[in-house]
Amino acid sequence: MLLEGVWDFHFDPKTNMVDTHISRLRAKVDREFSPQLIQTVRGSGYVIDALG
Amino acid sequence: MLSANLFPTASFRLVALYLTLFIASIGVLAALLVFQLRAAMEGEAQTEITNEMNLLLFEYHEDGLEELLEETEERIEKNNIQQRLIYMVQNPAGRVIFDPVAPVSRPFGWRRNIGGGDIHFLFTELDNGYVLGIGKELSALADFERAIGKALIWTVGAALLIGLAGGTILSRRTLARVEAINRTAQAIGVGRLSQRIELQHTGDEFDDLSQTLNRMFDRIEHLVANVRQVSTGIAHDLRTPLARLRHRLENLRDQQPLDAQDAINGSLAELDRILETFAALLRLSELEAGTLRSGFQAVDMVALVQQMVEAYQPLGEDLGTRFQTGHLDAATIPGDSHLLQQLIANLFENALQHAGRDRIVEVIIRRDPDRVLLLIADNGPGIPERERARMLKPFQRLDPSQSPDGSGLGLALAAAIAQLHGAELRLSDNHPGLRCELDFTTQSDSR
Repeated sequence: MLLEGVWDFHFDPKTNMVDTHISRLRAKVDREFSPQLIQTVRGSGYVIDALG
Repeated sequence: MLSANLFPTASFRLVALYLTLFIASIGVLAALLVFQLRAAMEGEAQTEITNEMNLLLFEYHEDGLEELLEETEERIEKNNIQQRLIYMVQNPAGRVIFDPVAPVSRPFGWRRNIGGGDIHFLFTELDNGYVLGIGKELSALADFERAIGKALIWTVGAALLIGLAGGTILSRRTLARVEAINRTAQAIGVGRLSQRIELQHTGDEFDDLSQTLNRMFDRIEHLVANVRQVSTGIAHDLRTPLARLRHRLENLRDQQPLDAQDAINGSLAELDRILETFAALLRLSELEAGTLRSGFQAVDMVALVQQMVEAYQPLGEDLGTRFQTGHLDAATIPGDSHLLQQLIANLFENALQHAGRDRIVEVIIRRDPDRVLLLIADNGPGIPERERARMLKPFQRLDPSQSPDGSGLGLALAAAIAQLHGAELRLSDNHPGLRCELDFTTQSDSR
């Protein structure tokens, strides 16, 4: 989903490209704050949740 | 088989048809010739007879019957040759003197074929019941007609003979070529797929046909080899994960619920891999069928490459590989942007997996008048030259014992996508590293 929305990719990269981008995003957005804005939902993806 | 089936061959029938036309035209020619000649000779004979008649009549009117008879006799004696005119005078009683001609009666004038021969006669009635007749036999014409008839028979005979021989030779040659094509096709039909029709290099229709067929045979051989390889690949690649899966499930049956979670996760991952392989195989067959080409649109290659590099850069940095763009000529090609993304992604992921740490992957687009060249080069270990062709086929890995992840379909998919776009994926040495070249020909789309 993220791949399609951001880059219009319609294939599954074998690599964990999304995770890498998310971790970079986290580093920029969430590093010095709590609660974490970007939450990982195991088995399905990521969610932005301000209430944490 | 050769001689028995000679007569029904197309070339033999063609020769026979031409022969018939040839003989018919010769016949028409001869008939026209005889007809024209006869008309000319008859005209000439009639003129001659008329002139002679006028001369003798003049004598008769000037000097009377006695003088006419004398003059006629003189002429018969003087022209005692075969081609001379025939003279006769008939008295009122019906007696004929001079040349032996049957007596005639009214009406006088022009007569032909007196006494069976090909003779033209002009009879004129004199005073007091006498008749003067002058004739000419057209014996030369009869000779000529006989000669023409003979020549015609000989010509037809010779034409028949030559035609028969020529037709046989031509049919044999044609049959031999057809037979060669037939033999090859039969051999291929029973499974000897590498057989090809031998070309005569005469540039004729048979060579054209043979070349077309040979190309078709190439394609068939290629496809059959592909199918074989893919099915073997499937068998090999799916057996191990399936066996592992079975093993895990067996363990799961005997184990505590707590450990079951891990076993289930492992099984799911295994199944994912199997499904992924199937998805890639389906994709590959879809690509090779070439039906996706109908949805092609203009794709801006520069934007595509920049987007891909941007997407892969962070991942590369984590794994110690730097993706960068070199010189990018502005280029637009007809294609499917999603497939082209996948093509580049597969090449990028290959580089990530195999190039190792501290590597650089550079992308270059070069635009020539008639083609667009996309270069993706790394400075990793590369692929040995003898392995390069193999790597483009499905289920091929550089080291089969190693790299269990990855379907072994990445480069095959990339090659299939390239082929769909009329491009060829070429692997070469980057000194050091691997250099992937994609050559999109933009002009005349021959496919």
